[in-house]
Amino acid sequence: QIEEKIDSQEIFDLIRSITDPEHPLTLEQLAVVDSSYIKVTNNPDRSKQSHVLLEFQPTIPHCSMATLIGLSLRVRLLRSLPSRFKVDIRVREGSHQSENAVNKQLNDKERVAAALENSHLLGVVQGCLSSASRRG
Amino acid sequence: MADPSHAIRAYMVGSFQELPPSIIQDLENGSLSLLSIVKLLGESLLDEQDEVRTRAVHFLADILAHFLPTNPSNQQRKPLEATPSQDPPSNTTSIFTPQVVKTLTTFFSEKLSDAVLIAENFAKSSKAPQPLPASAPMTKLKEVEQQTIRGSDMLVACLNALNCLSACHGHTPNQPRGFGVVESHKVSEALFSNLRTSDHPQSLRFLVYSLLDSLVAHHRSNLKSYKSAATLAAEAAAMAEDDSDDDAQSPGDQAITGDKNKEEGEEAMEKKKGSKKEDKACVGKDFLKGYVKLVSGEKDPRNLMVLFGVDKVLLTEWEMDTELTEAFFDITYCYFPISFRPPPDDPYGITSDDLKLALRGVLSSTPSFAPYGYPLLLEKLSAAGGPAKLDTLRTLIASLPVYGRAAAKANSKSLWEALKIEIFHATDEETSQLSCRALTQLVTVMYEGVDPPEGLAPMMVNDCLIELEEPGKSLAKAALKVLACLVKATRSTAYLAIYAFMDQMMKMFTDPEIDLAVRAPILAGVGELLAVLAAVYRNPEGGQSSSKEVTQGPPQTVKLVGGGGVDSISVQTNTNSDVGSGGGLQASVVSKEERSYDLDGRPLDPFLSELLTSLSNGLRSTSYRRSALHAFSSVVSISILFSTSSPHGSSSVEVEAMDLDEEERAQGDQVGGKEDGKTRKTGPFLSNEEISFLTHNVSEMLTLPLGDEVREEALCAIEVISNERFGGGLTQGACGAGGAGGEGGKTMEKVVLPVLLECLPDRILPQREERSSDVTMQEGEGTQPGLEAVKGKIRRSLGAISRLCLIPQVFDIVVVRLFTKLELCCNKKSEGEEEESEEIKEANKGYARGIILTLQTLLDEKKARGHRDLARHGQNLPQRIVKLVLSGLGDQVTQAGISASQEIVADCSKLLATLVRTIDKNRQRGLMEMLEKAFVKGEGDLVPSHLRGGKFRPLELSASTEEADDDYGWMKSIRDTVALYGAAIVASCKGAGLPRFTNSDDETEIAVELIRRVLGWTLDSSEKIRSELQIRTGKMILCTVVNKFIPEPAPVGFTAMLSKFWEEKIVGLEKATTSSYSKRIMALQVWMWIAKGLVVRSSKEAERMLEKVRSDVFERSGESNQDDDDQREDAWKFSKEAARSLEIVARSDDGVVSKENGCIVRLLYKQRLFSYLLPLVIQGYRSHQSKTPTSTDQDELESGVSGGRNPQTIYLISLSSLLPSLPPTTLTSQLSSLFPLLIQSLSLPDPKARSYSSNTLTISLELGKKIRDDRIEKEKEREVAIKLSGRRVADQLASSTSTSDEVENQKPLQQQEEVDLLALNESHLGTIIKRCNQNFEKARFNSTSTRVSSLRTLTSLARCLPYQALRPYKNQVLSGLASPGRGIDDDKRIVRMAAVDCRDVWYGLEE
Repeated sequence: QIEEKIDSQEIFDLIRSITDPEHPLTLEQLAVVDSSYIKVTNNPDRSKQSHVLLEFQPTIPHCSMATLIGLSLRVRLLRSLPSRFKVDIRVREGSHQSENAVNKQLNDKERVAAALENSHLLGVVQGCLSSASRRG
Repeated sequence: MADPSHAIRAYMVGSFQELPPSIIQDLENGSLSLLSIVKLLGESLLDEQDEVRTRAVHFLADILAHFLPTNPSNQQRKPLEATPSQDPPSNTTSIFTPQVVKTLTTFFSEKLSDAVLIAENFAKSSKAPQPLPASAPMTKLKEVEQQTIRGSDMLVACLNALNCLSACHGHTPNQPRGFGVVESHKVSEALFSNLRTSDHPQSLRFLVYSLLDSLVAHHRSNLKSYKSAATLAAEAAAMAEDDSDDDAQSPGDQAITGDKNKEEGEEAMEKKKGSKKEDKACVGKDFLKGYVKLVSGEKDPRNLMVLFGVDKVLLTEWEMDTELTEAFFDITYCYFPISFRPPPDDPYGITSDDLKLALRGVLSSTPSFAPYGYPLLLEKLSAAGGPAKLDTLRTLIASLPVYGRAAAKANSKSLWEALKIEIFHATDEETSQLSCRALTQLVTVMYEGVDPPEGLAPMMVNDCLIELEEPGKSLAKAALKVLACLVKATRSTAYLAIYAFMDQMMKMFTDPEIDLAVRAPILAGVGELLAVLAAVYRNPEGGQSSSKEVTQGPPQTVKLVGGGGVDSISVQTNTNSDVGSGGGLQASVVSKEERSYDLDGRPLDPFLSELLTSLSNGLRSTSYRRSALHAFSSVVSISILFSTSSPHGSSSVEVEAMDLDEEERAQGDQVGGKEDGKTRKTGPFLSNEEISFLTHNVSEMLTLPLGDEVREEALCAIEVISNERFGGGLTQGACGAGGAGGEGGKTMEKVVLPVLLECLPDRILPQREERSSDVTMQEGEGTQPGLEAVKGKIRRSLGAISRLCLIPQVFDIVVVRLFTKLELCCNKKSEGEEEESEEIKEANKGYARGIILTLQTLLDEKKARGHRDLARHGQNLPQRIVKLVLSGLGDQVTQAGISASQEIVADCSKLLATLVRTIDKNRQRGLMEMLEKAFVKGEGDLVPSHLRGGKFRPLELSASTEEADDDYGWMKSIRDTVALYGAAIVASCKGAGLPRFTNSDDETEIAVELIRRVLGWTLDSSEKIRSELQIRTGKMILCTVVNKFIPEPAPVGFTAMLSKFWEEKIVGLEKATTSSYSKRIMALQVWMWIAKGLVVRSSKEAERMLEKVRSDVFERSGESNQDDDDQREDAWKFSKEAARSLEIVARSDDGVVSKENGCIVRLLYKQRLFSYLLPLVIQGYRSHQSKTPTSTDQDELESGVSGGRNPQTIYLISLSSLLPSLPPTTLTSQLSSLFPLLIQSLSLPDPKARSYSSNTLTISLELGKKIRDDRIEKEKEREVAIKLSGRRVADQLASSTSTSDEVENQKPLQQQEEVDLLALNESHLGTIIKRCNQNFEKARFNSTSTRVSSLRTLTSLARCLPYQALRPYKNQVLSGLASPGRGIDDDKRIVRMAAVDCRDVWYGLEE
């Protein structure tokens, strides 16, 4: 049996239909995510860690929703990728004015966990993810 | 007979609630007259006590209501009036003589004042109910109203009586007469002087308004002379003599007088224009005044519905002066816009839309409202929002044509400003669309027949052009919409808009200083506007109105003559609609000028060269060719539409066009000096060369790889063109012109097709370097190696052909050309050529298959569209196909050509079957005879020469004889060709006949003999010359032949053959060697196919065949009577396979036994099959359950590793193979008995069985959810229905929804109880989840599809069942899905996807 490895297109399919928190449009339609922004490194040994680097491009450099979008992406991948994948989510270089702060927040386990304990925030994230299963 | 006086007395004291029947009888048979009744009532009518008087008046009114239930609106008066009697007695005229009617009318009119007094007294008395606030509950309000009504009993009686009497105008023979001018005046006077509607409750007001309605409806002309002044008496006396004349008027007469009045009114209007102060034109002023007073302040929707109707009649038919117009404006426009929302328990069912429509009808009924209406509408437009705004826009659309040109002109600026905001800054789509329609209407009203347009239109164009300076912006899109309105509206504005627009756009396009990025939106805009123009020309409405205009006479010839013509038009239109009088009514909604490119003044001609340049430029560019393609299709459409519509009236057009030509050239020179001075103004818009040039460019896009991203658009563009021919051809046919045309088809044929066919080589040859070098010239091809480039070209070309060549004209050519290519490509190379590489051979095979597939696609599509030219091809092509395939056969020495390869034979047989289905019985018979000659006798033209003379006997080759190894390939391919013959046998109907292997003439014997032959041919040949294709062919032939030719009951010869077959091939091989295992399975499948043929006929024989399978295979499975382990293994595998092959019988989606193939398909056969099979299987399972309750087996089953080798397992597998074909209704009814088996099947040692049962569970869940949701929905509907119209309707509703379900599935199951599917699932939830969890891990019996189906079941569980039930399992499922190596970590992507979705749903579970 041939193994079909998880690749960037599959990850793109997972996230393309997430809705933007502010618009009724998907992240794909807003060109926030793209399959070329995703890099997957598959470790052939399944017991060792594999890696996903996911970059996204906020619509404007001062987009206040960047963290929220990042959080939605994080939750979606958390739920749909096997635990052997380490996921890094970043704002594309130069596309946001507080790039470092956002990146730091999104990749800090504790902060993500804390954010998800906030029921209001979780509700918003759920709302963004409700359309995710459409896959384009 | 009782004494009438007794009856009356009894009524008076209240013993009768309704009229005493004896009185009615006496009146009917004439033994009692009305006069005597009045005499008998005598004293009571004048009694001092109010109650007694009321009772007496009531008595009279009831008599009237009984005998004169004329007015249909009576039916609505529910709460008050006794229901009108069923059948009006015939002798009413003898009872109600004119004199009686007159007297009674006078009586009731006079009583009216008395009645009002009584009502007032009651209101003042202590018995009157306390007034309630309007917010009180409905029931309370009703109660109070009823009490008040009781107080006004006499008033109600009077109004009812008058209402009945007012209909006595004798228009129909059986109707009493006598209600004339005097009476109508009397009643009006009584109403106006006595009543104040605001004092009375809604239902009483309703009576008053109904009476008014009746008066206006029947006595409109009489009311005109009504005077309320004191002089009335004298005048009325003078008029009384004319009564009889008036009475005699029939409704037709009235209508005529109505028209006359209107005409008079118009004249009056004309006069009024001259001298404004003269206000004498008002008719029936006194009545109108009284009416206005009576109805003003009404608020109830039911009453308003009546009033709006009356208002409209009065406004349209009566001429009013300024004062009254204003008064009417006040009592109608005050309701606008309507914000009424019906209460939830409204028993009358008046919706907001009803009111809106009625009011809109009133507001747009007369042009005299224009001065008051426009300001108000404009104000509402700017102030209102939401539905009110939409209502305003709709009213505007309705009013514009009625209010007329003058009024529109006066308000044009402000209207444009208001609409502009709505279009440019539209809040939602609907508003913007309505605004556009309003704008179109405005422009139409203002400029219909006006040339050149002045004032508003140039201003609009100017505003738009400013926005269009930046064509990429969103405002430019809105500007385009406005221009589109102008284009749609009239000829002259269309010319103006297009001219100005194109001028600016073309300049911008060619301006070197402007950013190139603007070009895409420019071309897109051009395309959009021209698409609108093409749509205007395409619209069949143009054709209709043209015929209308022809009958009307000269206007369109006058139109374009030039400067002198304008005057004559203005004269004409002045009399028509300019005045803004009632004439505008006719010119309203439907009026449309005829439109064509010529009549529009050929607006595109001055820009032709620029347009063409920009288009060809655009088509070549990469960044904006998408827009260019849209523009292209519109331009060519316009050209084609025009050239097809030009034949009629062409001579006059030419003359006008000559005149125009000069004018235009002058304009063109002014604009840019670009006019190239061509004198082809009389010809079509684009010359053939120009069309060809553009189309050629586009079709190249179809075949070149660089066209990839716009291929879809290009295909659409060409499709539009090719269909244009149809559109043009149709209208042409309707106009009776015929002849020339078919431009679209011609273009396809001359331009597109050559480009596409050019890409198809005769056959693919080895690509040498220099050959590919010219390909690399093309952009983007360089990267592909030569062979790939050729293949790509072929693929694109064939794809385009399969999409575009459906038109018969083109299809004919394509079939011929493609077939030639196919033959060339399949040809064996000639002797001299070098040996082809395997790669080239494969490529050519693919090419051939591509061509066949293209033909197949075209045929299917044409069939779906019902094209009739298929039969023609069906007659010729089959022979060619057969010949082609057979020519590919080599002889024993030479190699076979590609056309005889298995894949191509399979494709060809499919194509052949499709073709055979299109021809009729006789042709099919001819074909069958020809095929018989070839395949049975090995003779005829179809067989290639080297095989004639007995070498070609495909049906007799069974190769039990030993042959040399080399020959096997050859023999196999010869046997493969039978697929063609098989396809013909399968697809042709019964009358086409069968191949004969016996001398008998009996059809059944021929069939039985054929079956014997085919059985042998399919099963007895050695494996070396057998192929999948042959076996499939054999099965299909057997199935259909049995279905079509074996009579019911089955003949002995047939049954004997069957049992022999069973004994020999299936039971008999039981103990044989391993090699026989596959043969046994094959034989069993053949058995099932034969059974299938019988099952669809609902034949008894089928049940016997299936019973054999059950008793000989299922029941004996697992018996270990073999010694050898291998043999036992084989036997077990065989039983499993047998259980699976039940699927063959059950499924119906393979399309073999279908009506299309001439098979006998009985209604409800599926139900019969399942009602036979399911109990059999369940019974079998149960019987073995009790026999083998061994715990070890059960454990094995649970663990799912090997499964118990006993019949129970076999029954489970056979059940699961039936499941996918189970109709949903059967499933719901049988599920409770099936459920334990289903759960057992989840752990069967068979991946298919597992996934089938998983799927069934999923279906049952979703079905359960749907049933539940439907029930909730139905319940809601029922509640609403009960509230609206009582239980009866609700019951009807319920019964109608239940019968509308699929009859086929319903019938035999009706007696069974409906099960609650969800509850059933819920009760087994733990087990289901556990087994599903096991089934999506990677294991021996879990195939990919098993894993996916079990994940889907898990998803459906979470979707359909309540959270409380699922909660205990949530964490278990979620972690199960995420554990390493399974669920979201599966090897297969499709499983991961299902797992992610499943996890999503489970994550989403909440309280």
